[in-house]
Amino acid sequence: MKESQNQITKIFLPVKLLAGRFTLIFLILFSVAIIPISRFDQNITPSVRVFLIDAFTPIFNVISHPVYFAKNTVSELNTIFYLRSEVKRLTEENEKLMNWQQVGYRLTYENNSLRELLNVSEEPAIQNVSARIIADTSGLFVRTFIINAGSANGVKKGQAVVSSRGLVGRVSEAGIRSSRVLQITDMNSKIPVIVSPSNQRAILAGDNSDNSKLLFLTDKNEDLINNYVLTSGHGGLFPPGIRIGTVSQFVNGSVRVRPFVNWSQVEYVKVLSFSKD
Amino acid sequence: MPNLISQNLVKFIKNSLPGFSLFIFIFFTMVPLGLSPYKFSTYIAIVPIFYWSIYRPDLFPIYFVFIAGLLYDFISGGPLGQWGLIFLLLRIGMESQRRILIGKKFNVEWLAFTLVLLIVLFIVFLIGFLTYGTLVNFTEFIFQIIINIVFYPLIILVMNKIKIFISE
Repeated sequence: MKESQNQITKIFLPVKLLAGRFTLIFLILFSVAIIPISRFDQNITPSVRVFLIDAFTPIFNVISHPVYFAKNTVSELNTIFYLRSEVKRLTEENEKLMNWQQVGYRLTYENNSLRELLNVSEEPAIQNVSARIIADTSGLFVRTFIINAGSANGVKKGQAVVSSRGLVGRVSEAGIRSSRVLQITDMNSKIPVIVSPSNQRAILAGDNSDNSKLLFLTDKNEDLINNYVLTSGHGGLFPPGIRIGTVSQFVNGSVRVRPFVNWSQVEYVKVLSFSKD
Repeated sequence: MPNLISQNLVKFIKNSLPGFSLFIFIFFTMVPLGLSPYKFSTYIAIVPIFYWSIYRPDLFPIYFVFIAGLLYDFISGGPLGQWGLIFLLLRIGMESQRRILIGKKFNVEWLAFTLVLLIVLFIVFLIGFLTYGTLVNFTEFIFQIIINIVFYPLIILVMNKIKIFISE
């Protein structure tokens, strides 16, 4: 009985080894084949990605908590340590903001009066959903992160994502409880913008570097340095007037924009719901 | 009988540790330490594959590594198949080299890891270039290489402890 078993094993061993090798070759070829397919597939791959991110959201939530706890503790300690200088800075900032508040009230009143006079149609209201960054999925070629808000919270693909400092990116995949956000610095990010006060229209394109490029500027000149870059609202995807950054430099004919957002400090973001309907 | 069950359970948990450590590292690569591209965790997931393929390949099945790679691809948002392929090649490659590396001094292992890291990053660079048609930021590229080499001994300290715990 045992001998016959050994004989069977001897016969099937080469077959087993061969099958094992073929499986490995198949897996390697399979991996190579799906790389280009996934790049251009707009239906199956994103759906599976969204499903998996949703499934792992509780784990991301858990692992992000200690990080934010540590960050907040360091921040608290810093605040205590620099309390005196921080109070001085905030007092000065508060004075400046009080002045700006007066300007804001006056301009709002003026704006409303002119709108009424010219019978301008009402701007659509912008609603927002607050969310926390629970995973950073960036790599050498991708700049994305995951937030803990999805379609259950009213988040939809394409919506603008902002931090307290300005535009961060847009929702590229929306799951039920989580969403993936494409940062403005990602190479696939293209946003219609307006450069103020020169009022030039352009496209802000990411290239995975910290400073994004301004494309299709009609008049490139050094005077644009320190000009503000805001969303123009063209295309109807983003609300107009969201601040993005300032024109920082000219490098080999390309105009660079330094975003206002401090990437290492972002913890909470807002997803803006904006519709022209 | 209950003693046998608990023994088997302990053995099962111990044997699952290499695979579990890979998942821990995969999730660790996505911890939101700050959205700066200069984060130290991006390629740290290759360390457990490198280590367990040399020391305990019997507890680290090839198919498991491949599935973990695919999962990483799906979650990370990069080209699908990239990490599946890299994890698979790394697992096969390191098992074939284990006889050379086992029993050698740590410096040799560290050097081998450096070479493996360079090969992995070259594959990442190649796939990224062919998929997106663009080059990487070389400062970030060099940063990743240096930071992974520097942190390798620290991670190995933990890995060695796990290896001893499994063998007990």
